Amino acid sequence: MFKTKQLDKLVKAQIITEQQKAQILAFEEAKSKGFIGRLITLLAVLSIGVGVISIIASNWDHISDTFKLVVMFGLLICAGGLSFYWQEKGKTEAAESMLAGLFMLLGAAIGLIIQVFQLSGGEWYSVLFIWSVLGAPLLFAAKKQYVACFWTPVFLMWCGTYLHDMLRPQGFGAILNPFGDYMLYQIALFGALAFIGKMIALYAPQVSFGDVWRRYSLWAAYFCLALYIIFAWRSTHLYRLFIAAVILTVSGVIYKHYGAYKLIRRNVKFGALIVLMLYFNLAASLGLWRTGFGLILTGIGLLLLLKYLPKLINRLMGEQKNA
Amino acid sequence: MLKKYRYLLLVLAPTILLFIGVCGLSAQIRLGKEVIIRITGYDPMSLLSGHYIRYQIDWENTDCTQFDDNICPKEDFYRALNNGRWGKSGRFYVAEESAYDLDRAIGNSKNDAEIVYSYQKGRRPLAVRLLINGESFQSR
Repeated sequence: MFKTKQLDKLVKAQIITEQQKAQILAFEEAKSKGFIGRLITLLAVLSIGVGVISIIASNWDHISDTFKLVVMFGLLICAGGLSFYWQEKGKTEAAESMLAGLFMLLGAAIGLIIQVFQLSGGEWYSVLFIWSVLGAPLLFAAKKQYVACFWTPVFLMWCGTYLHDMLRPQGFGAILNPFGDYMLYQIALFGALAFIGKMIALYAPQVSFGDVWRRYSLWAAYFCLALYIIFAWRSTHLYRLFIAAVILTVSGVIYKHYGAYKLIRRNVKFGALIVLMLYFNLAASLGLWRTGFGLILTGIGLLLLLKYLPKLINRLMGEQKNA
Repeated sequence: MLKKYRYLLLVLAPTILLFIGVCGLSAQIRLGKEVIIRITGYDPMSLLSGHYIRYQIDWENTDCTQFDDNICPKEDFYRALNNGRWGKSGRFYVAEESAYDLDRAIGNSKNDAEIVYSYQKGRRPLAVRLLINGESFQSR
């Protein structure tokens, strides 16, 4: 409805014709039907899988371990077989949804094996590693990005937690400063993975996961950067804001070189986060938080930020975007 | 034709690998020697809909004569435990409906709790059964 009204306005302003409006609406309708269809297929696959697992879980004592494992392997083979069958029949969408469902079932199967064989020990994130390694062949079978959208977060979460656990200081220091300088290594790792994803998307476009890998790795890198900036709140950690500013500037120059203006916009927003943390620290040093002045100034500052930040972003890159 | 079988192989590869893993674990349980280890420090936990007890190994009260050279292979067993905030602890999964009874049984200090492991020297031991006063709480 909203889209129709917007299009009516464009027709009235003689930007598009009635015929173009009809074409846009038809295109959007077909697109949404496809999306809903895919979503329902995926939900159906997950619902059946979770249902079977729930039956097993609620009758845990009454079902033998062998039967539990037979049902689990039966489900995995059925999911794989159905995906193959639909692929052969040319029903690519259904086959791809089933592949994503198979990846989720694989996670449930690993959980079941852990419980049946009483496999404790090691670190919890080892499960993520096993899940991503076992699920990796599905990435090469997939022609669309559905599986990659599930696989990549699992893999990145393993990378991030493994590195975090390896590098973080142990003991009391870790509690006081849970996100320390070692996060720079995580940012570098995710940055490198984003670059690898970009290269895969560029040089092997037939592999479906390159672009998803790039996007998710970049999000992970920015998420770590946000934590790195936010946990620089203590005055002894202010140097981190400088390091974060250097990272944003260098990456901004690279983005500009490749014309990635959306990412420059993101960098400017993170720049605002640095300014905010500096402000909080300065206000604390001046003792503004002890009176109401700190809050009043913060309110005014936020209003000004709301008004001038978009203008600043547009001024920084508006011309290039329009070019 | 080759493309067709490539797809089938890729789709079934995770299941095949998982099957090989399960066969390996089953073989390890069958080939291993059963040893009984005393445990302490129970803590019934809920993990999604599953339940498990968290325990520590009580080496002081474990019979080390069941191992070679009468020495308890602590390092091998530590590989089967998690690194927790309060030291190394293991998990034993139980059915949700058994969790309450188990909690009461092991909460009673008069009861002895033990875990039967399948153990092969140099390999990670696998927990098989939980014993309360020498009787299997949940048979495999």
